[in-house]
Amino acid sequence: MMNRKNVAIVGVGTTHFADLYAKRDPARDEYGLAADAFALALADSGLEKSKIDGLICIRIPSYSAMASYLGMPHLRFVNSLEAAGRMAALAIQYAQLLIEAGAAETIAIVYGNVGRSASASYGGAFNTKSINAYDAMNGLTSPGAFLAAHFQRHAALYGTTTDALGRVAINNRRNATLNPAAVFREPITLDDYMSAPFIAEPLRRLDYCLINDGGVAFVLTSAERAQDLKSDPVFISPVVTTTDLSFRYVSEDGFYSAAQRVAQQLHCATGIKAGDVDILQVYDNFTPVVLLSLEGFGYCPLGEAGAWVAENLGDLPKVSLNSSGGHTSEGYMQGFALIAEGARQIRGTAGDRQKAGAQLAQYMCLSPIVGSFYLSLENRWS
Amino acid sequence: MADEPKIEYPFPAIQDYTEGYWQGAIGGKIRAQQCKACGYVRLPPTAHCSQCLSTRSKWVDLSGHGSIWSWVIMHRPYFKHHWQVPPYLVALVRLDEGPLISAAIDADQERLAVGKKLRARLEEVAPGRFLPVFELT
Ligand SMILES: [Zn+2]
Repeated sequence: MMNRKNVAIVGVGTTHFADLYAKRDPARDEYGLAADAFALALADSGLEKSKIDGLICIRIPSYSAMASYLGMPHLRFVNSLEAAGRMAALAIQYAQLLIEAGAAETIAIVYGNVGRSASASYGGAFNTKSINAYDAMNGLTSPGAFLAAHFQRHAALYGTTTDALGRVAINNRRNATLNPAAVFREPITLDDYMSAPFIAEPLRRLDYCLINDGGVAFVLTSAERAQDLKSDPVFISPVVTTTDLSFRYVSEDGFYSAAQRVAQQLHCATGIKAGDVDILQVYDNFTPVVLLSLEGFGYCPLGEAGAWVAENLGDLPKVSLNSSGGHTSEGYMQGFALIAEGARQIRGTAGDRQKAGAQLAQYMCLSPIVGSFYLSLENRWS
Repeated sequence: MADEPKIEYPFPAIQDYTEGYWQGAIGGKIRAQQCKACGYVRLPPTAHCSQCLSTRSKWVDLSGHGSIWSWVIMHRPYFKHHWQVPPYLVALVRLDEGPLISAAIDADQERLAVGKKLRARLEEVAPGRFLPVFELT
């Protein structure tokens, strides 16, 4: 880790997901939502807009139009990432590497999603020349269906029950009751969970992320520059990613060994262990992913995530996991809002849902691209 | 989630490197491509071998035997005019020769288990389109 230039998140911005959900608007676009979030992140950082010299866009139709919309035509670096949840850790990683390498000094990451207003659907998107058509012709088309198959296997191999999924959904919702911006804030019970209709059985509606509108933005800069800013910089550990890619959303071992590789590399780079983390921000496009993540990232042994959530996410949770409500209750910002929440918890600005004394957060994304990193106010990674 | 499916039900395009698969299916066989350069067996059909990138391959008839990797029951329609009507069961099947394919299983869910042995029959689900449907052995 010698001579690494540490990088910090110095600005965080998120739109009000509940308000946007209440007012569906087909004319709403990604540029406007991303700009709302960016304005908040920039104000949070206290930086002049002219200091931004890099821009990473996610789920934005055109980076060129985005840069123009934000009045930043002359950047040192710009690019777009595809509209996928696995991009959130990558966006942070790219910004970190670019700043470390000196290709840019202060980078804005902007994300905009009009999923609800544009009636986005995640099932059935492929073309008939693609290899995925061989699954689609059998009616196996959606990421949710593939995650349902992974959970079915987990249940068969380890005896995991849908109660464990219910606990994850209930935990998310309980956290969302304390988040005024969360889309769904009505508490749910295990009975509510079990009576929700199946979508891709064994997954029920309450296992699914929601589809909503919103924007998230971050401003990142070097630790050096961060020192002079008004708000607390949130230092980012090395972002570690790896892949387990195939043409479909399937991994032979449920992405376990890929996540283990990330966990080990992260441990080697930082010395941090699962038990040291105060705030777990776990990518949860579908609730089974939380179980697979807890195992893969070393919070419990393989096959024991069901027992772990029963122990730690009961009526009086022992662990803070997806403290703003996660993708099933706060909103589906494809990981970006989970990272924003991690930063807020570490700064102590998470309002009613603030965990007292939170010092270390971990973002975890288990998917065909696995990614994870820690957030801390302490500049401990230089 | 969209309430009504908007997409017409699609079958994979029949093109030079997929035609053999569909002809085999009409004859009651699941076929895979075997790379002429390195021998790797692959399915679904692709133009290139993923191992050595050769575009030369021959069709081989597979045994039609496999085992259950996992399964789900789909409760919602994603396509107009799909040959399966929700709720329908669709499995990921590990063929004995290696490839993992999706297919219907003609059995009650209660009788399924990960690893259970299966045997395929080919069924015409649309004109000229024969798909594997598995039975428990
Ligand atoms: Zn080959």
